[in-house]
Amino acid sequence: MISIQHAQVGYQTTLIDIAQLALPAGQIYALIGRNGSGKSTLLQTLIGQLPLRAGSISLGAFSLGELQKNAALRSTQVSYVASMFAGVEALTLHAYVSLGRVPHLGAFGRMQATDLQFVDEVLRVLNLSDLAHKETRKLSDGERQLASLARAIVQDTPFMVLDEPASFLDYFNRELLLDQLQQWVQQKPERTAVFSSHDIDLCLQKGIPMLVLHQHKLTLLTKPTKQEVMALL
Amino acid sequence: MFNPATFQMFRSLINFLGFVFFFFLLGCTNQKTAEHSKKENLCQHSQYLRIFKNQKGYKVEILDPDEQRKQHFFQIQKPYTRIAVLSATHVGMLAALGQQEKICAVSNAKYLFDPSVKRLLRLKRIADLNTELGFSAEKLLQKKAQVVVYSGFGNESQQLKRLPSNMLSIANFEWREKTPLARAEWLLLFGALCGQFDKAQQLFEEIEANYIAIQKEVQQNNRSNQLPVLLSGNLYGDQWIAPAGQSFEARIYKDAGLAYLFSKEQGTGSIFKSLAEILRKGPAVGIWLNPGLPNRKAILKQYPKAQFFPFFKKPIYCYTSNTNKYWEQAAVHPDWLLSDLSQIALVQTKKLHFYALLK
Amino acid sequence: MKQRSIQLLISSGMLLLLLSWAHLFVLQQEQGANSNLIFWEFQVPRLLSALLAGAGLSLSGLLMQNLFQNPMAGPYVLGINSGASLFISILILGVAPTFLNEFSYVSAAMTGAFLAASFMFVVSKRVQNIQSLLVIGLMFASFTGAIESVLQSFAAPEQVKQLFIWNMGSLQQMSAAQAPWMATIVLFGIASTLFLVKGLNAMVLGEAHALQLGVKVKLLKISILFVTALLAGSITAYCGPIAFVGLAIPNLSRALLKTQDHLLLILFSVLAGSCFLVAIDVLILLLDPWLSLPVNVLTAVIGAPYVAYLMLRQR
Repeated sequence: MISIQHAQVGYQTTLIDIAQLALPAGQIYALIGRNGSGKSTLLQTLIGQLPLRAGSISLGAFSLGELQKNAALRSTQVSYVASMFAGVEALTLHAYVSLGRVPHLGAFGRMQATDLQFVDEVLRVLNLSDLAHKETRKLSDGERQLASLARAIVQDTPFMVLDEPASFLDYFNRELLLDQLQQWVQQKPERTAVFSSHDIDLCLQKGIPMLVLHQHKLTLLTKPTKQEVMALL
Repeated sequence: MFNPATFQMFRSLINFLGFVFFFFLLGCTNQKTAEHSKKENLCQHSQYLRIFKNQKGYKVEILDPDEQRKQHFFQIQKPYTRIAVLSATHVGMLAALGQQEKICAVSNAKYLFDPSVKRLLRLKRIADLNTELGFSAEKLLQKKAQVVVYSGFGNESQQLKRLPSNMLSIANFEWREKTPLARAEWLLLFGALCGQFDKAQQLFEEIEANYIAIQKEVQQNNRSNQLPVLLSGNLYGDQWIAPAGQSFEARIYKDAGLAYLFSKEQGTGSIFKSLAEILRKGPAVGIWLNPGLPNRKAILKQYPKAQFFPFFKKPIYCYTSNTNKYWEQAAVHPDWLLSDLSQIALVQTKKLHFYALLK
Repeated sequence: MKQRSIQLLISSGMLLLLLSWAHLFVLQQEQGANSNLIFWEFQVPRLLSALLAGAGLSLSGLLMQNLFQNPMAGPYVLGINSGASLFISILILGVAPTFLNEFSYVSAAMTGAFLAASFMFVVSKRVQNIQSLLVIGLMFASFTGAIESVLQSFAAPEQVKQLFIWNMGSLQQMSAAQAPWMATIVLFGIASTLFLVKGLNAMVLGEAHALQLGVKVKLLKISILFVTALLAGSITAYCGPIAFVGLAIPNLSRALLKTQDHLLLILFSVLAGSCFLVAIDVLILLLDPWLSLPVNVLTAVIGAPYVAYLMLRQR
């Protein structure tokens, strides 16, 4: 569960002001808002990259303040999927996804058999097995986006934050992504995911709860309809 | 495209190659001896300098050792009184003629020996060009130099092209000569420049006579004895740099009755030897000359492993007790140099001019 | 994938043994009264110099490339050597001779290397691309070079000569007595890098990414700077600046192993760096009857075209 109390989010000025909001666990939430409304800023705040200007947010048992101070703890609580990552020379998709296990590894960073099994399983589910040994810089944008999701899943945290994770995906992979996210939150009771998206129709179709950003406010619609969303935007 | 990384990496290579190239140049000097017409030419030994007397004064010809066809002529009509010299050797030659007053600028005050030149420098009558930080044509103009004598060593000649045409610039290739006497003969050039030609000629004849006398004495003494083997030079990085077999150093070692370890090596400049070869030949060496450092401690500081050189325990001689004196006077006084070396060869040193046994 | 890496590791290890054997026992056979002395005081330290400098320089290059997120980084191009060189010049030219001992040389070089590396790292945060950073490295090197020149103009000729010799770079300067020190430092550097593997792997996609994976990025960065200074500084102190190894070998390692697993990269870079410098020295020994070459000439002849090729491929 993510709970927000009088939080002011923004860089130099307050961009979003949230009086009180609770996001129960076991759900994925779509963050909807117009360009420049502050979606990325809010997500950066949720993963502890950007400090709150005022108020407090807690992810499960920990406050954002605590998580910010302790990178090791944070890495076991929140995983993050950026909208883009640049491929790297000699870094294979498998090696990239395996980086998600880093928070769980010993001092020398060696992967155990169970870690490898986990990675292989996630790759299989996301249809990435055939690309496992391809260099990340040679993957397509969409393949890299799925790989990012795989890396976050492998990180095995209670919270996952995704910044436009579907922007480069085709229709089928968008469905796959949402299905996988929904499955992921249901696997363990404490899990919660927040992702930003412009694909309102698909989210409505899947019945995903929406967080709508509008005029510096954040509104939760647990059973959104198109009219409601459009009225807010 | 300009590629900074590559550029920088090449920089070290280029620096190094420049250094190698300099020694390479020394090594490749042309050996062809130009036959001078001895009737007119007042220089007997020199390969690159000719002086002719005529009604107007002296006509001087300087040959470029690298391009024999490139000759530099000039006529000296009346003595010059303001001479800038860019090498210690030139200071030594003028000082030997007692013409220190005619010097108006020196290349670097740090390397001076002659006391009266130093005094004139303190009185600001002589300018210190400090060419280590670049050559300043402006200072030469301020000092109203009439003549600039340079060594033709590096790229100074490019800078000299900027001097006004009425300022005479002379390349002094004395260091390219192959015999000690030929080097000393450049004294005559300075004599002609200062209006002291007869004095210079007289002094040179004295030096020549002394040199030949010592040489003869050495030949008589050493006929029966076995010659001590001499090693010259020191390790620079990975390489031992020593005079080549046909250099004037090798020549003077021979004249002094020393068996030079590299006397059979081709070339008139420097040779490069690997450490392995030096170690292999080391046990034969009886005397180590010119490590370029003032004492054994300094040798060890520069290269701790020198203690394992087989010849480190043998007598080591160097001019470093007074380096400036050596660079200033050795070229003009090969007789003193030969005297030193012949005493070193006998391991009986009574009075040394430049050299000292290293402690 | 793993198998291929392990094969490469084993074969480079065997190549290293072969080269070392050739270096010591085939090309440098010495007979006569001095042979034992020459072997222990000249030949063994020379081989050790090549082994340790090769290993240490390529490892510090690997670390730099990770820290700067830039395959063109290396101790030489980023002016780390220049920093060490400047501090050694100050020591040789400026300090009373009584302070000139083993310890002061190495620590001066390491301090210089550390400051230079830190400076370049701070600067790297403010420049946008690889080219600018390399130009700044170049500027930094010419800046330290200029200061050295000014210092030299005040110094005694003997000191200038000493510095000149040191600046040429050599595998034959280290004595048998110094060898254990250098070995300790380099092995310590390699060993401590093994503890950074996890962080180095996570850093491949940048600091922010590593932070999300729970890596203590600040500590990691300081450790990288420290280990690099330790390795590049001490090697520069003992052997002078040796170019190209630090830049070329880690790139070669990545290209051959096709991995970003830094455990494998560290091990392979160390072996390949040693192989490279020993092979260079073997070549020098082979060529010796005809011409005597300094080590930096050969590293440049082989390393520079490879680096130029890497630069071109980057476009």
